[in-house]
Amino acid sequence: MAVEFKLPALGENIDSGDVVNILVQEGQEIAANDGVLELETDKAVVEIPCPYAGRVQKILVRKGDTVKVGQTLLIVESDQPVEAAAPVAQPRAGQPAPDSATTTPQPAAAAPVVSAAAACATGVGPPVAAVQPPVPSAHAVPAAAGRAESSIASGQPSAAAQEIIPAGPAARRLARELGVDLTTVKGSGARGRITVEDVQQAAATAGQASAVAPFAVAPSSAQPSGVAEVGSPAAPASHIEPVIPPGEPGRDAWGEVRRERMSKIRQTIAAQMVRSASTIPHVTNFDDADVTDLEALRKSVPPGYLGANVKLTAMPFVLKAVALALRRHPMLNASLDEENQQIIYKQYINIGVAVDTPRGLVVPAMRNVDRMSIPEIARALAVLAERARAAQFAIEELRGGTFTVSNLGAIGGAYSTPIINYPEVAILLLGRSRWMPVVREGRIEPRLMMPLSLSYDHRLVDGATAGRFLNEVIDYLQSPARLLLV
Amino acid sequence: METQLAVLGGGPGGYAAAFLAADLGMQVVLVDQEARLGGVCLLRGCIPSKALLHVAKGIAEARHLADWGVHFGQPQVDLAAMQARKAKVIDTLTGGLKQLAAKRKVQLVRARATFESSQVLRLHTVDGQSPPDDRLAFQHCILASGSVPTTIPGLTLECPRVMDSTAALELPDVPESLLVVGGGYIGLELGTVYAALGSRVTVVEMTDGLLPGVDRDLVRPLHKKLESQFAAIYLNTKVAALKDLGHSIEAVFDGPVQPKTQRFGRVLVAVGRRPNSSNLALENTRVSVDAKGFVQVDVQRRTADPHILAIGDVAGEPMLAHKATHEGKTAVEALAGHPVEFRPRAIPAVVFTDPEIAWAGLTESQAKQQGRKFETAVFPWGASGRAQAAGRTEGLTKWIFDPQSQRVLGCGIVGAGAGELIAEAVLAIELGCHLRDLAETIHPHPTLSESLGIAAEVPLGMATDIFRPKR
Repeated sequence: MAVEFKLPALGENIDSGDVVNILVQEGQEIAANDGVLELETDKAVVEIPCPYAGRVQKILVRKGDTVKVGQTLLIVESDQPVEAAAPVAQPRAGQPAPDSATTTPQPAAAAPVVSAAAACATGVGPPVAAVQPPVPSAHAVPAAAGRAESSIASGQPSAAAQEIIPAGPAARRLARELGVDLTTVKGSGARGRITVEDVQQAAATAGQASAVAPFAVAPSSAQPSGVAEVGSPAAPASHIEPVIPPGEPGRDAWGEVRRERMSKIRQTIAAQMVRSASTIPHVTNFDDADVTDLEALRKSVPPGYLGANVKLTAMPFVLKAVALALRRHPMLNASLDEENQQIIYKQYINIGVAVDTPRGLVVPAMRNVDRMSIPEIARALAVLAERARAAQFAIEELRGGTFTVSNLGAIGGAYSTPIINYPEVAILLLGRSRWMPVVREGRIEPRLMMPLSLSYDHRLVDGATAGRFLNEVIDYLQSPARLLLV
Repeated sequence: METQLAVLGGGPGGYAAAFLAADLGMQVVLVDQEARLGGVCLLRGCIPSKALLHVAKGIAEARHLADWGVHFGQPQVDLAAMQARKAKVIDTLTGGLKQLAAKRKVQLVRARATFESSQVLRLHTVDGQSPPDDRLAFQHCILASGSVPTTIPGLTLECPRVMDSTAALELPDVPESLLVVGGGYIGLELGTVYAALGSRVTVVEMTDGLLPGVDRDLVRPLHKKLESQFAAIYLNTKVAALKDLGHSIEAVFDGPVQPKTQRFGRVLVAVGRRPNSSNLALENTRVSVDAKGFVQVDVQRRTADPHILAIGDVAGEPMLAHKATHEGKTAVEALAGHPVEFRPRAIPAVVFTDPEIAWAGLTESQAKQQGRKFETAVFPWGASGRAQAAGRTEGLTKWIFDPQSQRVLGCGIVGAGAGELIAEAVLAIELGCHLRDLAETIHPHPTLSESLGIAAEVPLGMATDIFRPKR
């Protein structure tokens, strides 16, 4: 049916304006709330949104015309009932606000801005157009809400729904936190008042799915290599990283809970782990390396020998052993190009070192470890750990790993089943070395044993290949002198 | 130097933001070009004007007691003592803020600042006092640079007799006559002060009524009262020219006024305020500014620049301290990742004249403008025992409500103490209260707060204190 779109109220003391620009053409399809013309009032130039979706049948004004509030501007052939096209400026899901939205005031903002201007000229400010119900539907779609609301405007929708939602600021805030659409909540209080408890109830019955934090940013599948983005210093333009971890008290059906926004780094870790675990058929081999001699060698190096603040741990030896073993077992230093059914053998050996930081796990990659000496590796590790904890990483430092070593030794525990850092094909986890009774040449001897857990991608790496690789690592660690001869 | 959060501006928005941010664990540097915290509100706005209005009120009430047979005679005014007392109020409050900042380890830097980039402020020397560093790098900045009095081209005389609100609050003397240009709240409040101290005050307003934008039924009792306090109120009139005659100022009026040329001891130009956004080198950032100079912000007070947020007067109307404070807290919570939005249903506004005018939420004129269905529920103060006892019956309390849902949308009050009464209305509007919620809430008797409950009873047919014929 054809609908007439009339010039809506523009703000206090403004009853007409001049058409500066017509933004649509006859025959053009428009979506609800698309801007259709730019109007210059004596206060400002504003874009006028049309609440109806459909095809522009006729444009009844021309550039330069002066139009009055209530005057028909366009006729829209709309297939939606007029009621349904209530001019609520709803954020459109899936359409991120372009940056230009920040320079052009959104049409809905026109009224408050203009009335503000009127007040400015005379010295008294009328209160902001009040009684705007929140637009709770904006929160129903978490990812979209975050984006859509980043459009910049200094006011509120002037033609927002007329209904007043009987919920106070506390209930409205909780609804935002729990992603509850207040228009769907039935108030249990007197005369339909929506209480905080009603919002909690609504969130609980809506189930876990809708209870996600409304401001969470959906993990981006477009990230080239998940972990590589971890610690990225540049936040996306419209998104502000929380400066501190927020914690909001609340409750679910079983008792008190606290909700915290997932940090970007945690989101990235989650996405990366799901990708790896759901793509790669993991197999884990467990073994032990006898590091008794290695420990003796390590201890023979006087403190400070490698430089101030550089502690010689077992880690540089392990990294060197892994690097040398990778040279001989290129399949563990490869990755799989599924699309082209190709195996990419990396001609470089960059070992990612998993570092536990207060913000979460990061895995900076150490370059060309096979060509570094043990002291060089030790020094590089000291720098790397410091930079990781201070979060002073360039994205580049987190990219380009070919194999990962994760050391749980400082914390404790023996074996684990580590998840591979996709698109790498293997990861070695070190447990805490402990003295064990070992049978050597018919006699039981106490030996210092380091537990090793090697997870590998069974698509590329067979059990035998992995076993041979792990044996070689163990051999190096058991005869550390060999590491020095390379 | 560098910091996690830089707050630019130490007014009620800026210091609230800085303090809350520090409480949430952020490292904060607050930059202001004043030596003292508090901004316009505390140093040359809300607080000093209220200190002077307190004096005006005392004088008016003493005079008012003549009706009751009590005569005090003419007041003796010691201007220096009054200025000192006013200064003490400011000193106490700004001193308190300084202590609060120190306890929170908010670093205060005195400097004029401009943006070098989206993450660096350049700090300039103020009054020969150089900042600790010439640059301040930040992760985020909350811009709270406030506003300054608007000047009218042609009416700016380089003459101390022509004052803006800042100069008028200094109270240099009590001129025999004062011309107030602008019938807005600043002009009327300061006019009230000068009139109480003995100046003959003339107000000139360009539009057809005082306090443009405010509902006329609220302005009417004030207008009537001011006619007795002021020498003249000229509406539909502009000041065409001002001329410095040395010992006085000659004003030429353009409007229905006789005589067209009049002389005044001093002139106060109070035609509004404009946002302080032009001298900050915002062009070096991605912040966008509208035609009026307001920084454009979203519902969390984020600007188009991901590192910069803006609050208070510089971020849009209404230019009120309490709005700035709430925006400041919203901005900080947004930075902390809390799901906050600045989406108030009502921002109260108070004109501290005598009688006071206060309103919140939807006004009648806005409702008409928006073509929105509404009804009003009015209680005239003549029916209030308390108003009668105080001899202040020139007042009314008015709810604006949705006829269908009977929920309150707005409230307007005129009368003595209206500014204190409006708080209940703001809460009611924020909560989406039904008229019955207000009618069935027991208000203390005899107080003027009763008027809010009784007004709500009127449309429900429950108001026994007034008689409304059946329709």
